[in-house]
Amino acid sequence: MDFVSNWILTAIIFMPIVGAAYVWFGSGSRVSQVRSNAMIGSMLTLLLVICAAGMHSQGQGETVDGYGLYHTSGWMADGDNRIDVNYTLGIDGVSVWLLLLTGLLCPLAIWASFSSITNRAKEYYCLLLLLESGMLGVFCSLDLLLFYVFFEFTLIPLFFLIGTWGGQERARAATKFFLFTVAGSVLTFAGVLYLAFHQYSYGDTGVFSLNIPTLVRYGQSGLIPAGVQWWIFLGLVAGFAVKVPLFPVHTWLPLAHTEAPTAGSVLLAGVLLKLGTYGFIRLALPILPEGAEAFAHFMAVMAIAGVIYGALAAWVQEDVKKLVAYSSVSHMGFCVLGMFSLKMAGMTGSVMYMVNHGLSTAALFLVVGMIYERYHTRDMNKLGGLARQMPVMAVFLIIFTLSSIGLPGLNGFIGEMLVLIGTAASTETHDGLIAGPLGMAYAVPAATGIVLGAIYMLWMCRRILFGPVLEPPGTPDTSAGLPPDLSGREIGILAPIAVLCLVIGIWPKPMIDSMQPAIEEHILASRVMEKDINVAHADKAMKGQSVASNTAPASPQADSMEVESKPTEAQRFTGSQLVGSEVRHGS
Amino acid sequence: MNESLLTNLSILILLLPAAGALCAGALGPRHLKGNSHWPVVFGVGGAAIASYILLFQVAGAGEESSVLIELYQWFTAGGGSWFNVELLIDPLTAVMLAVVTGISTLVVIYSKEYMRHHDQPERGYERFFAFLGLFVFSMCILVLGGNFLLLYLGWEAVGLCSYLLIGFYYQKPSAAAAAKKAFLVNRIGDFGFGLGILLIYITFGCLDYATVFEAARLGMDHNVEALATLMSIDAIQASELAMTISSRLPIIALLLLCGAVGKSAQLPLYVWLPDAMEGPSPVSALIHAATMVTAGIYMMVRCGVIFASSDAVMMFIAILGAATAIFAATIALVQTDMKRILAYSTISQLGYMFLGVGCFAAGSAVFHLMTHAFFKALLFLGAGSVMHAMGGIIDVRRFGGLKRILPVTYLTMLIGSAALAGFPLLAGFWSKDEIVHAAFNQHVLLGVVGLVTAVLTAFYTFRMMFLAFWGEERVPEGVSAHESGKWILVPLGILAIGAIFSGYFGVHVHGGGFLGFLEPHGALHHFLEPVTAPFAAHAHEAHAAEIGHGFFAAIAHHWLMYLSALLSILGILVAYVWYVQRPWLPQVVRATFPKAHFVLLHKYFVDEFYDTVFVSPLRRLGRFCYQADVFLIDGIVWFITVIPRMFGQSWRTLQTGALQGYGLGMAAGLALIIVLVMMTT
Repeated sequence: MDFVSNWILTAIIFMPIVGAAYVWFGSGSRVSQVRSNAMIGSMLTLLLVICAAGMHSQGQGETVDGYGLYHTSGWMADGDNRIDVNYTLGIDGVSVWLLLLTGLLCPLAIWASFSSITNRAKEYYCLLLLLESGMLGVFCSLDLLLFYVFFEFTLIPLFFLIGTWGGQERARAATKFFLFTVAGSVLTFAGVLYLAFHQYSYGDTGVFSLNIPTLVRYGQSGLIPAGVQWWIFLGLVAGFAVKVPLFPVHTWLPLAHTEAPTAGSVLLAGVLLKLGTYGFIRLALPILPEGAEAFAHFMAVMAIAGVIYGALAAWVQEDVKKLVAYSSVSHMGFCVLGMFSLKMAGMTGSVMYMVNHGLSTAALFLVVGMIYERYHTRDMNKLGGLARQMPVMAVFLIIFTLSSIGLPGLNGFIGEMLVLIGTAASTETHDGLIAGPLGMAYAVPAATGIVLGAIYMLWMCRRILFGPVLEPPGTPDTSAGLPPDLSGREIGILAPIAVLCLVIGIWPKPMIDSMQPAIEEHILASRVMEKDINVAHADKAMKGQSVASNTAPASPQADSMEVESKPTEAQRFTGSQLVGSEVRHGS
Repeated sequence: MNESLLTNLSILILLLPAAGALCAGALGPRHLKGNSHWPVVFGVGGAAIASYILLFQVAGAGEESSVLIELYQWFTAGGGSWFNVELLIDPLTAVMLAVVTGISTLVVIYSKEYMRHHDQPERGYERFFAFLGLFVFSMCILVLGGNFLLLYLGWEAVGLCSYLLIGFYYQKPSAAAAAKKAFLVNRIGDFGFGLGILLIYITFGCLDYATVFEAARLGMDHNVEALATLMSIDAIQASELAMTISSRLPIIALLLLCGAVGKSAQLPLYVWLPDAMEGPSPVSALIHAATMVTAGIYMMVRCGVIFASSDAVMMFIAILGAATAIFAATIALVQTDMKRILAYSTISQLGYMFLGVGCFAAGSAVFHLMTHAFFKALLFLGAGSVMHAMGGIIDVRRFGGLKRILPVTYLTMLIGSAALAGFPLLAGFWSKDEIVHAAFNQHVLLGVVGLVTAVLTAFYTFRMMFLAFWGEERVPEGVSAHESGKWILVPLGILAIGAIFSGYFGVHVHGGGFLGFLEPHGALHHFLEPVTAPFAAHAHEAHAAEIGHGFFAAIAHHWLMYLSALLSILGILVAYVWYVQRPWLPQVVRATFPKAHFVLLHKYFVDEFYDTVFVSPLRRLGRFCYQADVFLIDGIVWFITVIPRMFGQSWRTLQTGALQGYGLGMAAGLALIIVLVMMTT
């Protein structure tokens, strides 16, 4: 079992690559075999992800720094062990849900491509599998370089997916998408390097470390002065904000979504956008608590601007896919808003929102793709009354619309409500965390997003589904063997998502139960109020006036193994325990 | 009380309609087809039986009539306390459940025949019943929920069902538009409602009724010690909390009120309800008259502690209710679509209920809610029966004199109309009278508005009745009118019995003068007292303040009943004179006041106003945002990319590709380096 738990994350990351290799070399020229092989590869990955999630919930395998299924192997090292850049993997209660989301959406995206992709299928499915690999890698990485490599790696397959199998303007869309994200992530890399060198120069490890837990520990020890935190924060945020995408750097998204093939849109909206928010919660917020707090207002304002702006822009679209794309801008604004409340509710809501948005928006793109395959248009002026022609599709579209507009009882509501509670109650301390920066003043404009969300989504439903039947001439096109309404395969794609939407909405407890300890330990550790120790201390440590070293500082010669094997408790990171040692660095 | 029985009953009440809906939705299209009503009939009927058992259980329990049933933990905002899925059973819930499931059962039975033409099920038959079942389930959650989140869940879910059912004939553009409008206008109200819930969470740190209401009560009383114990905080914090509570409760009340105004179609958010008549008649009867639209009143009564804490808020509610009542009644005077007349009437009657709540007469408001559910459902179903017979035509100008063609429908609708008009001894008389009574206690003007509206109500109701059923017999061309079958007539009959007798739940026998032997505040009010106590506590203060107006108090107590009986008969008589005896009179009046008629006919132009002031600008803003995306933001990005390109452009001329040029450059460079080296050494 040890062997399995040690290597399962590696297996998850490389399974799609193996699948891609098999698709490339192992399947003949027949499209049907190519796609079934691709499907097998991604299904095996899903199976592994489910196994890993199960093992993680059972607490199997090595747990280091609160990350389960931990694995590390040497990657880059010099003779003196002064470089700690390793192949380190591990998951916690947050990343496990994103892994599951990725693992689920990829086979569905591949399955959805069966009817629409006929030319160069081999390349297409290989790229999809490579993309899956990259995304899974991001959520498993505990090393910043590894994280960054996977983070950037996802661009390459998607660039080709959009650029080759996209719509009319695919070249422009692919280039724009690539340039926007690369420009952002270059700055992120600068931030990463600054952070790592700062740790190397002023930290007590004496090791050039890109190990995320080490950096989090360092960041939370308060050794990074506020001014530096700001710069690093800005650097990290540049890349993540483009990815999210946060207003006003979102303009690549509508174009990329509209031009991408359905599977590309599904994975882009479902998972890739979450890489940005995941970057926030895994790196920017825990490593730079002061930076996060200092920029919280700014980020929240941008997030709310995105919520309202995205919703209004969505409302005036004629292209369904563009409408859904702008709705993503609006929804991801909610996600960012929640995390910058720096409260348990907001953070939980934010993570829930990532998963829920991943499900509902991916499903919406899938439905739009299914309509497109039949009617060859996404223009709402040319479509109407499809509820009569495609009743089963109508049921699914309405379910996902309702999930998207946060109808209570479906998944969207839980995330939305928690984000709003977290934002509104940011200054309260019911949840045992110190007061956060936001408040009711932020919740009120954000809540208008709920009304606006209903406006544009129902607008879309009404125009596509209701009213007199309106179809472009010569459609529905059934020449590709598609029935007028959804086929069994298409129902099989949408049904699992619909069921999950309902289950998460009614019974989100398992998700919340596994998420909240991880959030408390890994993201908001510096904000936990200690019941028995004076709150003021924690507050003071937070403000960075009393800066201290960690318990039992590691010697400069300590190799990476020693760092990992230290016992860790949640309290280890809390501000209160950091009080009372000498000031090593100030500015 | 027998808690396990109640638990089982309440779960049954929730699950039966849901199971029925699921069954109809899943099996309907392929297997059940024209029999799709059966699972829903059994599901909703079973829920109704369970609701009545539950009602008797609660009624028999006496003092300890409130039970909280925790089902499971839903989600949490951190800090260890969860928002549960929990059910609260108390007299208010029991009454609401009985009304909801009872009327629903009748409506479902009625729909079995109504949703067919020539005994062939309409397209979407199974969909219709699935949505009805879903609606009953949602409404039961709304009234059973034990915290604000479940209330919100039910609140949104009934809105969804309303959306789906208004848009049932989705191919009609007007129906699709009406459905969307209903959902959106409700969402605007829910925006405030949601913020109210957030503010409750911020203030109290939890969202369950029991804790919030208890803390609110203690906070208003400034009972610091008890508050400290309840919230497990120290005295200083409790003192601060009490201050916060007393300052925030009015704001919370106003925010929650937004939700109620949207759902219960009050000014200024009533605009969706008349359009909602695009849905099938049973839907109008069930959702847009008897049950869903009363959710706002239910919520205000449920949150009595919060609302009654501020006299200003209560006064605002009363004024809002009175204004809506008379406003909608005036519009109803000139409408010609039977269902729209009834829709405006519903808005007006809901205004009465608001007025009742605002005048601290919560028990009377719930009483009126109950009686109104009977007679308004009856009227809508009757209108549906007329529509069924007239081949889908519902405009009273296009038919008339139907009383011989549709005798049973006519008779039952007559009873319903009389009850709505407040004809003495019928259901509406008792409940409306109580509200007007309470309004007089609060302020004379409110009472006068209540009385004037009563006259208008009697007038427009009987105008509709006379136009449709009296006079010369006329039916639209090509329609072979016939009375409906028993599936339609039996529910009408049962509702007519309710419209006559349901008022007697709210009165009690008393030795006194004529009509005085039946005094208001009967069994229903006593039953509801545990819930309406917060209103009663404040009502006494209000009464004490009103002693100066002894004259009106006296009138209100003894003469109001006679007066309102007379006014109701007066309204009916005027309608009789205008529409039966001298049918040319309305023409004369219309010609005399053309502008007033024009304004009323166009419903005061409120829809047009909203469209110009809110919708169009918002859409323009949306277009602007999109343009900004395309031109402004991408323009800036383009500008940034231009800089390196210009840089490249300016240097690319050097890359001519001509070998001699490169050679020259090399030589020049080499020479330069040599010169520099020589100079430095």
